[in-house]
Amino acid sequence: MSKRRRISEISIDMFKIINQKPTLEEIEKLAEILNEKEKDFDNEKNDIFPVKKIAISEVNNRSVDGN
Amino acid sequence: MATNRIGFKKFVKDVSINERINIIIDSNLLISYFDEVHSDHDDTVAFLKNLDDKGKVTFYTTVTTKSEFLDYHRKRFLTEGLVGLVRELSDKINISTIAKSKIQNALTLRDNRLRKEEKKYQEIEEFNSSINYFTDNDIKEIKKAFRARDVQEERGWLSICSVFLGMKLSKCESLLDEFCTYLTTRDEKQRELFVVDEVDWKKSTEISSETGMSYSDSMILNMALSTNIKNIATLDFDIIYAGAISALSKTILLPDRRIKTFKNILKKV
Repeated sequence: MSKRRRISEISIDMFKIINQKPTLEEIEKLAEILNEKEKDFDNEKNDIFPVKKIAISEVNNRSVDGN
Repeated sequence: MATNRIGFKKFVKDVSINERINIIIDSNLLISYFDEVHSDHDDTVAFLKNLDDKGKVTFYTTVTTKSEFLDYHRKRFLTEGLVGLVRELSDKINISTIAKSKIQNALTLRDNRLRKEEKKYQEIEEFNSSINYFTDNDIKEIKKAFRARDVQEERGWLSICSVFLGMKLSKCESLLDEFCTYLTTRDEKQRELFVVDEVDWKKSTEISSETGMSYSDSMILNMALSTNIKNIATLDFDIIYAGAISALSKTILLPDRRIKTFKNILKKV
């Protein structure tokens, strides 16, 4: 019924995709995004979960519980 | 009672040159064909390639099989990408300590699973290649490590998906669409294949209840029973087992080296 290429030909293309590695450009772009975030994360101003705030909420919780 | 199971080699041998063959294939067969570390990879490649070279074959399958195949490759590509981040790309890409440790934890769990599977391989020569890859749970844990860094803008994880999955999955899908034909009653060209007007999905539940097989496997068996396609090629024990109970009118094709094992098991049925 189907008019397709030989499966051996399709397989060559499939294995090319399966074994395809990211390009240098893709890696550089990914590094830019992930490394930039690392930098931002180290900056306390950009940290949405600063250790101080978490520590304060812990103290508050303890007070509310009456312990 | 005669068996309805035939080994791959015998089946190919009996096919005439240019004979038209319709065959239903399951996800395990497709997965083993495209993953060299699967213990049935060589048998599957030889079977499908020799069959395709000899006859005019249409490989039928279902959209459930397609989703299982693509899901396997989603985990495969993400695992390879994430492992790459902590190994060969670690000098170029600096991920957070928590993300690194989540990936390392997932690797340790994966390696433990691999050790068990390798031991099993020494005993029964079966290797489940999916063990090589992170589980959904592993991936979710790693994803959280990237998400927690900037909840409002999840560019980190999305960029990882874009680089390691991106076009790869959709290209795999296109090639699979060329490899297989998906069974559907909606396609007029397939009308002659169906022995029913509509597939009754409640029958999948009956098949699943009868032998305790997974619902996705019973869906493929139910689809097969709704057609006049005689042959089902599989590596799945559940389908072979259910084939001996619920699908005696079908011929179940399986690797030759497994026939004896299944014969012993199914003798008791």
